[in-house]
Amino acid sequence: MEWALDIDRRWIWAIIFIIIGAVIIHPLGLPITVSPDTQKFYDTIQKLPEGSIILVGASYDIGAQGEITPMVKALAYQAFAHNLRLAVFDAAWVNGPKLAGQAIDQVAKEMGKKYGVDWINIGYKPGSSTTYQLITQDLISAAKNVDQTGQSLDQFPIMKDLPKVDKDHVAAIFAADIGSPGAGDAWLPYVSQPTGIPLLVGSITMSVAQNKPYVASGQFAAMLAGSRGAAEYEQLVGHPGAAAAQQDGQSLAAIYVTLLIVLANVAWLTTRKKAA
Amino acid sequence: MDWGILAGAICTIAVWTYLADHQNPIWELIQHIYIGLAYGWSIGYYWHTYIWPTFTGNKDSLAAGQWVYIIPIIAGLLVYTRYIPSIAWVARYPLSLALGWGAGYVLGFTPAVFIGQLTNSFYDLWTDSVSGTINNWILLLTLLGTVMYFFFTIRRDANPVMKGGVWLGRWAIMVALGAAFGNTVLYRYNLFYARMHYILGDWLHLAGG
Repeated sequence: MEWALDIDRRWIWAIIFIIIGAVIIHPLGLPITVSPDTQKFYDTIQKLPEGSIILVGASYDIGAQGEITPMVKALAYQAFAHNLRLAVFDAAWVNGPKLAGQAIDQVAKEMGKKYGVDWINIGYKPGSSTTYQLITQDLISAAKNVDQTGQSLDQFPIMKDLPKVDKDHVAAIFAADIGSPGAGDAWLPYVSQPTGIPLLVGSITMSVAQNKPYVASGQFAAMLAGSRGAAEYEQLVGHPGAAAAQQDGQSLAAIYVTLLIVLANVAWLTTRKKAA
Repeated sequence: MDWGILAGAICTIAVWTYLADHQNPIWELIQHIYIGLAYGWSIGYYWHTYIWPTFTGNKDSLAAGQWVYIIPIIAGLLVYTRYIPSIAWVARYPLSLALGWGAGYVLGFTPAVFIGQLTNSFYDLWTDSVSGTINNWILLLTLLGTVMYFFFTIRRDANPVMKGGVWLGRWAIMVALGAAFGNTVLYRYNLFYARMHYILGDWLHLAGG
């Protein structure tokens, strides 16, 4: 079994390329069951009154696009179908609002929703914790009265209903979480907890274990757990997309990695016995 | 042809060359281009949507009469005195101000979150359901075991309680780290999948389904 310990790592990469490539070209369509967490996320949004505003905390970057963007798109589908409005903002991740804005723009055009009326991209504003807290007092000042593209915010009708982020103006916050600062250490202490606005979280797979205690304590109203959660959510809103397709690859990759772990352990134990 | 997608595909493949051969020239080149572009874009974005409006905007800016902003602007500029050796000490003042203020600010908001977590770790040990009871006992015992594992003022083999607690704590930590590692590996595959979909779907239009 010594050969197994000397496999060139490039063979391992090559096989993963083949596996993932094959399921992208020929999807298997493995069934996806909806977990209670995702159902709760969907139901929370569904219960919001028509016309309410959801603040989209785009705390993510290009690396997490594969997992978070499908969540944002599915959120836009559900929100617009239910006549809810969306406002994108972040104070810690410079690329997040741009990425979330592109995803929402695509859905808005498809569903005939207007920028500045049904949704707005306030953009990224530096300052992290200070700015997160400042938006609960005066959103337009915190944003320097300019949106993502530099246009004056106060010219848009949606901003008349969104002078600040508090319970009277924002019905829920969706915050992406890909690390720090994220939902647990930025959106929760500076925005959700002081204002009492329910915090819905879209977590990358890597952070699911550390975010679960917030769901258990009720500090997060609900959470989408990684690409799996995104796929379940896409299914609930009736627009299966990138995340749903991703599940085939993720399942096969998990089986492949498990086999490699078993192989490596068997090889190691065999060689150790021989050496003894 | 969408030149943006083509450029993205070429950059992705260039990054992947790292897998075949570490530190090859293509990887080095694309790494420098990426970092340069990211910083350039960020600086341009800050300037147009935050710094310039702070001076000239029609709300909450110097032009709108917020002269008090001159104080943090000067404090911020003082940080750069560290490049002048004879007055480099001046930079310590704005930095100490920022650090002190930051620490106080964080302490003002985070305890509420922490207390919420703490109060939620108090559970009934005997519930209506068997699974609930088992879960809550597991939570209590692994919590105590993990705390005992990091308790260094009593010898670990001092008595059977300490010995058993440390043993349980070590297993609890290993299970937690294993779950975190498993999630990390899956997340990396999801990142890889997204780039593969970009190459095969968005660029080559080969994606099925």
